[in-house]
Amino acid sequence: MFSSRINMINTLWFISFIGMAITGFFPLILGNTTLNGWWMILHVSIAPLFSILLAIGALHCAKKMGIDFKDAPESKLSRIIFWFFLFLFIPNALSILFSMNTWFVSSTQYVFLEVHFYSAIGMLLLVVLHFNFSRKNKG
Amino acid sequence: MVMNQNNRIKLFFIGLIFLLQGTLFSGEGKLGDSPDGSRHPAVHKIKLMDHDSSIIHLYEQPLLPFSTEMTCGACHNYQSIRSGWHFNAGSAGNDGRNSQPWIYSNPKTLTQIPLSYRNWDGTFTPEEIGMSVFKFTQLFNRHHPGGSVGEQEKFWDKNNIFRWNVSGKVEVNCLVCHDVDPANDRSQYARQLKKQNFRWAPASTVSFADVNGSAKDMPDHYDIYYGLAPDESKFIPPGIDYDKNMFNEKDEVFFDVTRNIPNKNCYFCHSSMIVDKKRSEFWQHGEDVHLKRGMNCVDCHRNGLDHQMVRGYPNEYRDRNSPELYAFSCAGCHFPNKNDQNISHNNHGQIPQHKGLPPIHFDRLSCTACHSGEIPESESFFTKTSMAHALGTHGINKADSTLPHIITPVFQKDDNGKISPVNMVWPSFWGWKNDGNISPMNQDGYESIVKNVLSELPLNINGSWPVIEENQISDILTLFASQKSESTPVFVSGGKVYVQDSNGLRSLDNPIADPYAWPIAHNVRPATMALGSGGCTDCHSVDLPFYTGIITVDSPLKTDDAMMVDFHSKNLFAAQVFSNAFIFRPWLKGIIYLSVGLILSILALFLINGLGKWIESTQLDEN
Repeated sequence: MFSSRINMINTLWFISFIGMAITGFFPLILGNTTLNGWWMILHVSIAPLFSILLAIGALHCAKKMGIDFKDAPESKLSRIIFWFFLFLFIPNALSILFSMNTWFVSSTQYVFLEVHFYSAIGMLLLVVLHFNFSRKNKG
Repeated sequence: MVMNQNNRIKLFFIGLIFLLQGTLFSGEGKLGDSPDGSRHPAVHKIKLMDHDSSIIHLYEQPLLPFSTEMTCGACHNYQSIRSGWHFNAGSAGNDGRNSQPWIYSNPKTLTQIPLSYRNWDGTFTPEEIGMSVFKFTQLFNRHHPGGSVGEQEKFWDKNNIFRWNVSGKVEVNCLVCHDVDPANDRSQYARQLKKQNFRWAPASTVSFADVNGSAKDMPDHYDIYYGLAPDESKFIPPGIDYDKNMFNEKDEVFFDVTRNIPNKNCYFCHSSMIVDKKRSEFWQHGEDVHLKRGMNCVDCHRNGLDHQMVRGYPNEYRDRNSPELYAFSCAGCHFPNKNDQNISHNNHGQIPQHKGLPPIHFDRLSCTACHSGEIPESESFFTKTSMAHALGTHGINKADSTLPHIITPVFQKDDNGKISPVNMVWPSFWGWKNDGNISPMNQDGYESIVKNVLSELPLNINGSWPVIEENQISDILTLFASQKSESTPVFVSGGKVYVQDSNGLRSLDNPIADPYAWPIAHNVRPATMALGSGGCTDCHSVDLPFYTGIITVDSPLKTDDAMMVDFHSKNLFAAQVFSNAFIFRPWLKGIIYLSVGLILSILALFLINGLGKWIESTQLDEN
């Protein structure tokens, strides 16, 4: 019962991650210089779901793997990817949260956007790397 | 052969004459056009010259009005000056960014049509409605500093050529901007134009001259030098009296003119006033923040001898291929390091903080969207302008609703895809449709018919549209159709084209009925009064004017109003969904903060654990 819930959470998280990646990067691939309109609405709507599912999933994974690199069923690379992903999530989320407050001037807002963009690219690459690695291990 | 002393002197003077001719008459390098660096204004105690370049002596008869071309042009390059933005409509290769048109309106003929000699989309040339340059000059040059088509014979209708001879051409009126004599009466200019005293108009404004009589009352053969035969006309011919006390013994007169134009001079042609019942008193109307802080219009809107005024819009430096102009745009002044193009003025505006403003706003909105024009309210306003409503002249209709109806503010996407505030006028005119193309009718072709059909309507003293029913439009169109069988008469109004057919009056969509809009740059509001100073929900809210403000679709017929969103994003649903998202925004932020907190805790545990393991391993190594 518990593992099926965890599986559901992981699946939902992955779907929301794909949603975040598509709504975040696809408009830029299409030639838009900024995220706006429906893309923005979708991106912002998925964001809370993505982040809370990530937090729950992270809690579970940390519990499962332990908070070090030893004595866990997962490979060392998987664990590095996991911890690095969590590490990147912090600037990614905080940059956009801070930009929604009236604390920072416009030039800093541009920096926040850059941080959000590049940390998102990093997260995407880590996920791609993880799946590529998992597929090779299975193969 | 040895040249004697006399011949040498003769040759020297002949050479000097050629040299002077080369410099004085070639239009280059005139005395007043090369500043020596002194910031003290030059004192203009000068002789007046008439149109024949003769010095005006007060004892001579007939006394002629002074010519600005000859008087000012003696020391300033008139040909270069007249190429400037204010004077080059009709002759410029580059028409520039669209701006306020001249608006011909007449409630009795249901007409309101934007006119321009510049090739701006949505405007019509006066000739297209059958208005000659002569008529145009009489009607609109009241707020025009001269030059342009009124000065160039090639634009003149041959039927009016004798009238032009009587009235004279419309020279650049240097004094309307440069004269700072408080007694300069610019409204006199408008008065003289009505009397067709074009040649006398600039002189009529100065404090030392009085113009009387009327060229309009003179016959076509009237000659300003010989006048009329004693019994030829009971009317007074145009003439001028100079105040002898203002002239010195050398027939020189002092002009109080300046290079640094005061704002009040600009205001004669560039005033505007919002029609708002809540602001019935003049003191309730604000002014541009730059002017309130002591700047002058010409601090930004600068020009050289060619009078190509800096207009100050974002891409002007590209359009004119002049990088230094960037410094005179909003961003160029307020973000001084951008583009590194601040070479020509040494003052900068405050660098705005824009705290909490997501950068996407700089990509999607012009600076003016938040800072210029009226703050949008639930319904658009009418605005009255000097150019459109003849403000500051005598005998105008001061009613709030007098035509033309200029709608403001409307947020519209500009050529760069940015949302900017604009003023807007809905064209209303009678036209002919040929092969799908609609062109306006000549005034002569419709005026009498329309006035006849509408003659029963009560007199409308407020100068606004009369109350019109569709059947009256049908009647008028039917009468037009009986005149010209090969074309279809149409009435363009309120964003629609009305056509009369066997089923009655039909309204069609056609781009020719689209409103003409031009950008608003002033009045600029300070940061504390900018849109967004009250937070995101200044705009991003379901029922706020930025999206759902009512925009009047102006027409003598009943029309449905438009909504602000129709002119910019055109997607009310998306805007409303996004606006609704702001209701849940605290939740959104809360959930993400919670997630960040949880993940930070896990990371902290990971780091503390790692640190513990490292200390443990180093202790083991030491043991």
